[in-house]
Amino acid sequence: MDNPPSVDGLRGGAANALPVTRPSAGRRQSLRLWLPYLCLVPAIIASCGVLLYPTLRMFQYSFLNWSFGKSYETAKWDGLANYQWLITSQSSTLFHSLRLTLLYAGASIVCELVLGLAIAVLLNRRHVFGRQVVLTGFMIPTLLMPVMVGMMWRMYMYPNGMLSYFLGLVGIKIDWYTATWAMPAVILIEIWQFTPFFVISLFAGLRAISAEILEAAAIDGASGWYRFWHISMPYLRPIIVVTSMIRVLWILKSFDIVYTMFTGGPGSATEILGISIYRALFLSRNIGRSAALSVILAALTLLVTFAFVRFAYRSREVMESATP
Amino acid sequence: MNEQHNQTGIRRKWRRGLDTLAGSLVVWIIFLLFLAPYLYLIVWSFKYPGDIQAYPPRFFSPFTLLNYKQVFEDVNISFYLRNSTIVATVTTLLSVLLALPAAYSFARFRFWGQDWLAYLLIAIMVAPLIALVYPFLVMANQLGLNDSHLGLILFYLPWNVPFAVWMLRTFISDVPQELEESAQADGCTRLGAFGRITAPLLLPGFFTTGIFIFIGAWNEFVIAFFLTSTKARTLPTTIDFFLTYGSFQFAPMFAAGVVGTLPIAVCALLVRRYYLAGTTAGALKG
Repeated sequence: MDNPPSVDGLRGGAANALPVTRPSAGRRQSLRLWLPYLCLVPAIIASCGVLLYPTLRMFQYSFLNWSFGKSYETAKWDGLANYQWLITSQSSTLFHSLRLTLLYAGASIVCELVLGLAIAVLLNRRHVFGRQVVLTGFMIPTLLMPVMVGMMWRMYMYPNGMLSYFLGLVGIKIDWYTATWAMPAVILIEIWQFTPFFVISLFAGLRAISAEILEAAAIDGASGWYRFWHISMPYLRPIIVVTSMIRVLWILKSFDIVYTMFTGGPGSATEILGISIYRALFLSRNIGRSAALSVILAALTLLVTFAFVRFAYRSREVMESATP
Repeated sequence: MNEQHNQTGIRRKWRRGLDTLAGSLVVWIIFLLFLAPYLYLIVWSFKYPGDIQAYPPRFFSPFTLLNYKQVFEDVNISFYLRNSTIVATVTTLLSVLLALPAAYSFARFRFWGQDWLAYLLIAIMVAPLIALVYPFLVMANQLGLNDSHLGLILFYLPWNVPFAVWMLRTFISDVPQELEESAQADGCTRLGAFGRITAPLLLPGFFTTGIFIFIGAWNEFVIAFFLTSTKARTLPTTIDFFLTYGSFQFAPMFAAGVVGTLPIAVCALLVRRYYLAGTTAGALKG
């Protein structure tokens, strides 16, 4: 088995290259040896200590036949029945949720990327009035409370809300609260909230490309498009991949906005994985199935994270130079 | 000849100026479009309920604090604000405090299993919140921590401590180790060297890490929603009031939205230099 990417792979790293002074002897030496581990104890206890028990429980519950609200004594060991049901049953929403999550991630990330890149390039022109103000302002949507964002858009998307009014001005009439338009509505909100994230990271990437290279290419007669595709784009590629992966992680675990907007409905039109877990637990009152879905979600998240860490390790030089 | 050259120069300058103006204009129009929904929320929260729900929207209407009065008096939002502040502040302080030794260890030592331990921390950090809600409920009931500040804080730690380790590690790495070593050579203990030399230089690091944890805990909905009912309810969970009581209430919702999000918008201004570092590390947080 090969080594994991080193810790300093992800950020910084200069410090670890420095030599550690040789230990002297005796007790001091054993302290030297144990000090790094002793330092980790509070953090490990605070995170593992709290999480270990619930995680093991989650695994255990996923093998049980147990209804929500009934006592633990009524739970029966059911083997892999929950997983089998999720995969084979007609009424299982697992694949529906996975498809929705894929659509959700794909559509929103592509739109965010295209829009974000366009805005970043515009922002990177030689002179832009109030560039810093724009950049700072763009940070606001991403940091806002997701629940409030969902609430806010819920108000705007009502038939007599603000969005409906402005769309009406250009002659578009959409009822967002239908099975067809619910998912596009969620994606639209997502695009609103996270395009600025792409703008900021891509702008940082564009800034890091040295002006001399671009000027030299311009003197050699390269057109603007040529410079963009053949000099800027290869440089931005790792940043695009890392930013998109971050978004995939966010979308996998998203719950708040969809919950406040539609609670998974109408029907199961917006039943992404997180909502499925919630529904299996509180509507179908089936703890086992909910836990099995949780295990699947956790596994997916770990998989994407692993890919993310590996990739971030490989592209670390670029990422570091791009972080302002 | 010379005059003609001068004229083309002036024309070019004009064209460049126009170009800048047009570019800036496009950027600002897009920017304002993006901010519009939030600005709308703020402006509309100062209108009378009748004007808020009017269709087509009334852009110019009398100013009032009625909605805020309602939110603070009828819904008693200051109670939830207080809960949110307590939980977010204690989570922030505890996370940074517990994470500091580990961050120091990762930044300053080279030890066996370092990479795997870092992986473990990341794996903990990505655990999806919604997946653990039921086990958390069971655990909170067993420990008697249901609907308490302590319970919420305890369940926020597993996500925020690894995040703080990750962030602080970077900031500690940025302080040259030679500074500490020379202090130790002058007779300081390792702890003394850290406290006197490195810690003061870490203030921006503490501040940034703290703000990001604070924002996360302030915005957190899932755990707060399922694990609190009356005593420890935080601000994000109060949206339920506006959803379920009778018909959907617009007017107080606007005011509550502003009360809940304005502190965060201010935080955004405070951390703007470290926004990318924070969001990239925070991306992993469940």
